[in-house]
Amino acid sequence: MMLSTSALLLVIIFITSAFSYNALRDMSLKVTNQALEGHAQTFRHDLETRVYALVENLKELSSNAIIANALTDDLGRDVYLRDFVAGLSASEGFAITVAMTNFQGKVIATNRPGENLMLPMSWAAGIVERAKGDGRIILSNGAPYLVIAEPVIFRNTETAEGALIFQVNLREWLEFERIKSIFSIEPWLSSLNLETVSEIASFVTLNAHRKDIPITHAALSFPPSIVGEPLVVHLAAQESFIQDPLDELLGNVAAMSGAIFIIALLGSFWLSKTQTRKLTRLRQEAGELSKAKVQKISFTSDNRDEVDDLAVAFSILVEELQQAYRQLEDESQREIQQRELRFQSIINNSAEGIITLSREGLIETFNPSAEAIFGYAETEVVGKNISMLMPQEERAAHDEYLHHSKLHAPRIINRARDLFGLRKNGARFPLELNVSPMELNGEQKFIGIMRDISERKEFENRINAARVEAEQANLAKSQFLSSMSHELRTPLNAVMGFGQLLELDHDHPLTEAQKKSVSQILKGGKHLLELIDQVLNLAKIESGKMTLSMETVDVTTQLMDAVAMARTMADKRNIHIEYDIPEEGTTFVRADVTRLHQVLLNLLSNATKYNYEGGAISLKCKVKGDVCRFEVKDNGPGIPAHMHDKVFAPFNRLGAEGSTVEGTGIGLTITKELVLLMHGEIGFVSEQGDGAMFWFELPLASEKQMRQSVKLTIESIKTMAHDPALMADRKVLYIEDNPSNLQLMEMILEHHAHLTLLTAQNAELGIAMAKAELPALILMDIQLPGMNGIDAMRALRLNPKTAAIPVIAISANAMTKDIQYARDMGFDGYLTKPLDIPTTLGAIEDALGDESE
Amino acid sequence: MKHILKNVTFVIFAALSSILFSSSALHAEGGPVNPVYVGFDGSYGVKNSTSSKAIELGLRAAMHEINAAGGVLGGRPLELITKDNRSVAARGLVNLEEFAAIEDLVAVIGDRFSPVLLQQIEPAHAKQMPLLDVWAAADDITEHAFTPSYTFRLSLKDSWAMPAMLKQALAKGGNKIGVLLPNTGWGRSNQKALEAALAHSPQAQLVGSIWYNWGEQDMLQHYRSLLSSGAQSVLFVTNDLEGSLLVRQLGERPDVLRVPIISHWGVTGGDMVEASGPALAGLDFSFVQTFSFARARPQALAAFKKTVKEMAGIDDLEKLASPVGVGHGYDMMHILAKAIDTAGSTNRATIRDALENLGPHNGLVRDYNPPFSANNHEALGPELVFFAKYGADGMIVPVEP
Repeated sequence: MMLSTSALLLVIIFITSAFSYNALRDMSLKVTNQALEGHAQTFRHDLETRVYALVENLKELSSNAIIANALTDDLGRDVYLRDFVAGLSASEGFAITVAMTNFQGKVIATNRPGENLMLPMSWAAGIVERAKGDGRIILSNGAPYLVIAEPVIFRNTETAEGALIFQVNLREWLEFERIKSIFSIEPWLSSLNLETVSEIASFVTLNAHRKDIPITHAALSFPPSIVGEPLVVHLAAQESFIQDPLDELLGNVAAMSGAIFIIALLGSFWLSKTQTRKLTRLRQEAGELSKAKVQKISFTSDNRDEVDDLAVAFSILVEELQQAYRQLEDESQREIQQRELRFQSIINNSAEGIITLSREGLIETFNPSAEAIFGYAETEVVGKNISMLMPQEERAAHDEYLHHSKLHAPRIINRARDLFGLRKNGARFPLELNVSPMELNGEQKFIGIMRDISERKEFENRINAARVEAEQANLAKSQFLSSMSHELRTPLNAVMGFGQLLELDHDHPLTEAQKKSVSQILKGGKHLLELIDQVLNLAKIESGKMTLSMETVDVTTQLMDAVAMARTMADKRNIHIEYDIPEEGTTFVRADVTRLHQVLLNLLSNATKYNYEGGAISLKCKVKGDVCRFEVKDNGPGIPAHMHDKVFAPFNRLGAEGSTVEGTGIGLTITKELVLLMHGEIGFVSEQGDGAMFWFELPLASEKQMRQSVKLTIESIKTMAHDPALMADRKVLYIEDNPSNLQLMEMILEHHAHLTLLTAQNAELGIAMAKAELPALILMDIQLPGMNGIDAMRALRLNPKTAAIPVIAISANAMTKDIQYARDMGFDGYLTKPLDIPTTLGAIEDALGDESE
Repeated sequence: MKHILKNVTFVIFAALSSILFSSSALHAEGGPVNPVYVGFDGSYGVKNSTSSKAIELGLRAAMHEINAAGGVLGGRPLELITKDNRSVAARGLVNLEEFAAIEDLVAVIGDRFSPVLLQQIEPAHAKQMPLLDVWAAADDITEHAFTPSYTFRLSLKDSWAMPAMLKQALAKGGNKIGVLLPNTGWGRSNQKALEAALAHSPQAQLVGSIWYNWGEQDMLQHYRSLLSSGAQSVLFVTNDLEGSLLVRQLGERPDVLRVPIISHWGVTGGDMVEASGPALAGLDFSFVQTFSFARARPQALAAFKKTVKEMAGIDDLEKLASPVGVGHGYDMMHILAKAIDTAGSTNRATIRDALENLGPHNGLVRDYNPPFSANNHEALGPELVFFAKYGADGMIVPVEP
């Protein structure tokens, strides 16, 4: 049977081979054509790319500045073109003829003088006129020439002033190495050509009957700007190239298939004999394995061939399966045990009470912390209802929650609630409880976690009570203070009033002894009044009720006032006050005038009181960075080191309580508070026997604050300007390079609404502005950058428009000779820097007043 | 009877028409009867150019005065024909041809661009056309081999400008000097002049010399290249287009070091201030000039003021752009008119000779004693060269070195 099948197969093979020969032939023809097609496309692409590159290069070159420059400059024109084109040719391979034409299309430079251009001058002239590129394919002597041109745009006029032309013989492309080399790479190619469409058409017609020649054509498509005869790449292969291999193939296939077939036939006979037997046996044994589960089953193997190896493999597999199964069982047991242990220890060691309940609310587990909280042992509560741990009033609510658990869940589940619990001993205590549901083996349970919060509750209560107490105390104090002031002052007024009456009664003069007594009474009263005021001040400050009105204060005026007042006291004890303070109008601080006065007076009076008879006080005031530092030094007994920390403490007079020196003990406390309120700092330096130096610092007033205070000064000067000449609208031009002087002048003239201030920062600008604006007056700084003020003034005098405008010189030079020189030069007035406001205003007034006459 | 009447009518008609004809001939002032033409080959088409209009103003102002005084050659008015060469030499050549073809056109006046005039020299001599230069500064415009020479110049020369610019650069501190030159005949003329000037200034050290093309888009790279060669000041041979480009670029790069820039006068040929923007005021940028209305001869200035007010309603001379063009054009036209009258005809060759043989002339720019002679075709001199800068309001302000 085998034999007959194989014989039949052999016959079939031979028949199909014969039929497939033709099919194979056709196919191989197609394949060759496709290969040709591929090459044709590659070549087409190659040439098209080169042409596009040429067009791009031309565009780029024509817009190059050097080319535009060459158009106008006759020197080296040819050289530019040669150099550029040399580079181009090398990259593109063509021998390019480049020509540059003028605006009339006439060639003015070319890299190949011998070569004729294929197109006339009028074509190039048209390109310049239209300022648009153009291209042609021209056939000449059977060769296709590509001629492209671009206008050369002159950047300085933005017009086309010439044209740049490329001319190339496309047939040269066929001679390029890269192209020609195809014949050595593919020897089966017979021809490659560049033809026009019409040439191809005639070729095709001639050879229409020959269907078996492998040839192909690919049409070239150039940029649309290039007009002319369309070109085609034409490829052909050798005929024999197809035929010979096919014949060979046929012969080989026939011989080979015959031989292989016979060998296969013999082989199969032998195999079927031996191996079929063994496989059947193996199948039987495998069948038994499945029936007998996992038992010792052996697989017979005798001859050490592949089937036997299969049997051995099966045995090993079964053994390993048994082992793995046993191992798995052991491991899972161990893991379960460990997990249980872990959970149990968490629950047992938890600081919080953990109780698990059944769905009906019966206690199932009760951890040691829960035992401690409630006082029950676990055995006493397991199986009982949880409500036994609740106070009576809570039990009803609990039942409700339990029976309608779903309804109440959002409020109960996973929320910490404050409740009350019931200990074994009947005590009720506050409890924080958090309940979560749990599912175990399909049954719903609850876990409750709770904390005894009795201690916490107590603390909360205590804090609340303390706060309420403090608030009440504060209120009481304030009320006390305000009523006390009135209460204390009223009788004191009586004491002071009547005492003074006694002193001053001329009708009933007092005796010496009586005078002494009255004076003591008054002194005591005064002291008491002072004390009351100071205490009230202190209270006001402490309760935050003291208000300060902060101003920009000139320290000098304040210091002088304070010194004047302190002198009265100091003179009585022969104490000399000397001071080193800044000039008036130079140093300004932010402070409350009254309080600053208070502070200074306090420090000066202390320096006087706690000083020796005939001693000295020195008062210093200096600017230090952005604060002003005040220092009051005395050469009295000084303050010992161990008392330093009590200096600013209230009612502490550091041992002077028993002396003859008067004082309330809160002066410095108040002083310190006031300085701090004014955003300053205070301190002291002292050693026993070396006097004391008290210092305090206050922030300096900023520019803005100072300007505002200057404004106020000027307000006061406003009254000066009553001259009718200033009432008319006038322009004043100030030529000055220093910005702060400009600002000052702005401020000075700000309040004269009818005077417009114009400014210029150098002479040139100033002259221009003077001409343009024709101001009524010019203020000219002499020291100007570039052209100086004197030259500028003379220049203005030359111009008839500006010659009559009065010009006042402004200069830092105040020598008589400088002033005289300026006047001699022709200035109408002279002001010295720094400008004095009244003088300046006066000068302006005079100058404008004269003009009005 | 009838034919006598006819005769009489004819005679009366003839008499009347002859009277009318002759009287109209006697009063030939109204229309342009037989004018004498002067051509101006301007570069109006260049972006931002103000030089062409300025030269034209000067020419027309002079013509207005001359014509008001009776014209030339006993009563013929002068008339100006203008063309635009757009700074392109090829167009200048075509314009020259066209001018030469016009009968009674006695001379062609040139504009700002030396490269155009340099190429017009040959055809001008071939056509025997006097070529009068009122701005272009290249030396070779008058220093060429043609004799007799048909080119005459009333303007600045590069060989005067360069020494002055070099001196100015040294005065501004620093011996190391860089120079930027345009890649044209004008650039080459300046290079030659600079070499000659350097020979006389041994302390000056030329550290870099860079050529740029017209229509350059990036002048800053050239400037920086000079700085990196150590230049402490830069001589800038340029017109307003490349000049304002450099200023604008510097304005955009405040981090680039500014050194004094001493420029040739081409920058005043266009809207330099407008095109440069605010950066110009912050630079030390000075340029050469030969003329300023503030230094004009008073008598000529008075006449000129009157004329421009009448002719064009202009009363503020300070605002005139490219003042050198106005002044030079005005003086040159007056000198030409004198030459035409001296020649007694519109023959170009005769007029050329006449230009060399004039007496003294008091012009706006200077007093000419005389303007030209057989071996000197330069009406101005190096002593007229001074430096100026653009002031705060865009006006040209003379600066003392």
